[in-house]
Amino acid sequence: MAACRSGFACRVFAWGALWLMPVSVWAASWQILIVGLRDDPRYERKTLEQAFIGKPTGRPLVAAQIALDELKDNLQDSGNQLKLQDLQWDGKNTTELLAEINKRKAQVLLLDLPAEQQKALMEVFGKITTAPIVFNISESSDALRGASCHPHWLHTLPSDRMLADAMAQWLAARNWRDMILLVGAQPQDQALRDVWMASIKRYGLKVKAERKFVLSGDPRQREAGNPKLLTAEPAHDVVMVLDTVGEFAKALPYNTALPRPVVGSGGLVPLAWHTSWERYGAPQLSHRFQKLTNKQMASQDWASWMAVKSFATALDEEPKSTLAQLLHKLRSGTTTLDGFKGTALSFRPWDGQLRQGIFMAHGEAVAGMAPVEGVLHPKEILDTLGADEPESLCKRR
Amino acid sequence: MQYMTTYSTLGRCASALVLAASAHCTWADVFVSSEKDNVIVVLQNDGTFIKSIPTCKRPRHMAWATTGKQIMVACGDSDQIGIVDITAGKQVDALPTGESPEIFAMSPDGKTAYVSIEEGSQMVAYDVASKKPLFSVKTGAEPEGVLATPDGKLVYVTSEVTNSVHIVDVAIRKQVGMVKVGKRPRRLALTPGGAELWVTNELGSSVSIIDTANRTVKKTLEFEIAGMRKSDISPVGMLITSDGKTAWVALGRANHVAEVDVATHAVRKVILAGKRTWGVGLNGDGSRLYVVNGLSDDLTIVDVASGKAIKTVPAGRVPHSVITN
Repeated sequence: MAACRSGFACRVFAWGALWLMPVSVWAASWQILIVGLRDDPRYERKTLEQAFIGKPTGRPLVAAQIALDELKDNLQDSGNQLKLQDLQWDGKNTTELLAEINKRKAQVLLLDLPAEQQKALMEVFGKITTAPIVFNISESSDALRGASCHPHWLHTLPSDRMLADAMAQWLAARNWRDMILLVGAQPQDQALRDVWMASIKRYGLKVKAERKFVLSGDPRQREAGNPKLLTAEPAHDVVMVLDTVGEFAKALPYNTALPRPVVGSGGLVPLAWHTSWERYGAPQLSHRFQKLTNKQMASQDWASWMAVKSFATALDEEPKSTLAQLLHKLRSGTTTLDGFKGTALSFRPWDGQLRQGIFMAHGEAVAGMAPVEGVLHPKEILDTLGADEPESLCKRR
Repeated sequence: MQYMTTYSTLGRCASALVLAASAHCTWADVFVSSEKDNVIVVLQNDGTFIKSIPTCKRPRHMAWATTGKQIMVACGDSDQIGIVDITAGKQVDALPTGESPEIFAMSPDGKTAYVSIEEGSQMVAYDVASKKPLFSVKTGAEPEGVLATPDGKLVYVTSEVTNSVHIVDVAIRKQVGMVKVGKRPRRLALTPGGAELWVTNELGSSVSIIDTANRTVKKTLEFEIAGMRKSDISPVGMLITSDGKTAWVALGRANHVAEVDVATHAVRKVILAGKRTWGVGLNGDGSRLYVVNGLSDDLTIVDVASGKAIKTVPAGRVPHSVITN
């Protein structure tokens, strides 16, 4: 039994053996593979040093390892062995990546890839022999959960719409409804703007003026580059800034024309994780991460930890499950998960997104959590964040 | 003022004696550990503030030392169990522990403290007299609730991450069993006689009742509160009365405390307390229940006979546990 490498082969063997031996001989081995980019601009030294809020602070392997260690002994007792590996891909040659995944017989994939590469891989999903459970741990694009969705694809990082809804709830709860909206000049900024506008509409916030900003000190561009000119009028409660790069948003608080809070990509920011949150066992997890990496745990680390934790939890509950059964347990939303956010989390059956609370953070502190108190939902309060069942664009459930 | 306070305490004690002959009256009755201001808040039976006793940092679980005059308190940020003399009004000694102790249990003879230590996921036994660790036993990740059986033979430890209760045999210093319970198990209570071990499951919104003889969950107790969803209910603090008839379960974010019939496992009633009900404690004659409200920084006093909250009084900043004498 110890020689078993593939979960499939081992299970066949064990089922056969059950007729002859006591139940305790069950053994299965599970390969978890993190797929990242070889030259990922997010992990370049300069980018990491800039430390824009909401961006990853390093590769997600350590966080995944922490989750594995938490449940390893339990899983071993029930005959399940989990192995974690990572590989770095050039982001172009899908055939090469498929060959590598198939060679390693990975049953669980953690994708730390940009949206386009994740989509490219899921388009050839049928060629992966194990039909793995795939976790998106680093992309917030709603399209991956919507039109591009896939029955095997789960998302532990919150989507852009979830973050936008969290912020909109926060502003509506305070009655800070009037805003000046500043949007970056990149196409991604415009896409993000469209997502956030849907939340702004849902919660009855008012965009008093919308302006495009540019990163420039050029006096000829001062209308778009000078924060004071951008935020002087009309009257508003907050300045909302949407900036996928992060440089402009980081410098905006306290540089506005009027004393108004900045929210969105700078100032008060919605996040999946923040190390200042003190409840629900969160500090213990952040502390474990800090000890191993000497870094603050970021949202992407949490999403990586949560992906392994989700798989391990499903396996711990039903140790003799097949991969297909584990996927069903997770995707159907019947397995509740502990994300150290205070409430039981689960995946939405309609699009594979992990429902979860969102931290509202600024600088070193967490102001609070969304869903905010008083927000109602007919079934599940966490589904006030992001695409709810009737509005989901996912057709392959 | 001093005179007045003493007088009113005596007056209350006298009337309590009329109602219940067994009532044990001393000057102070209720002790609440307050995590964020590093004190034990001392209150009269009726909630009147007496004083705050400074302790080691981030005091959480408390237990009486054998003398009955000292409180042992786990201090998460000082890595020690502080020993607080209530008469002297100060911490007089400390038992160094591993990192960030939260819950502990004393052996029946008071000589050993069993402490859950997150670092290395273990339950560590300390000799109180010599202040030396005696042995440690590996548990699941994030060990939390600890309970030592009255016969001194076993120690139960919950693991929040692996959703299980670990059973440690003290004589052989090894884990001898493990029982799967609900999600995020927190605290433990044993029925008198030890036939049933109750476990609160914070994320499972339930209490698992373990048959200690065959070490299996015989019943999972669910709670219902009108107008609330299951996910709003997060049980943590719990106690079982010495007559074994009633269990009190603090329902966390549901802001209520539940009274449960131990024999039938039926919830008799739920009582509204404060924000995020956490620790629970009874006074000496069992007539009053004290409920610590972690997020409203107060303590609710419940009249047990009528099942009504009498009043709620301030109790530090992020209060954790309550004990009485």
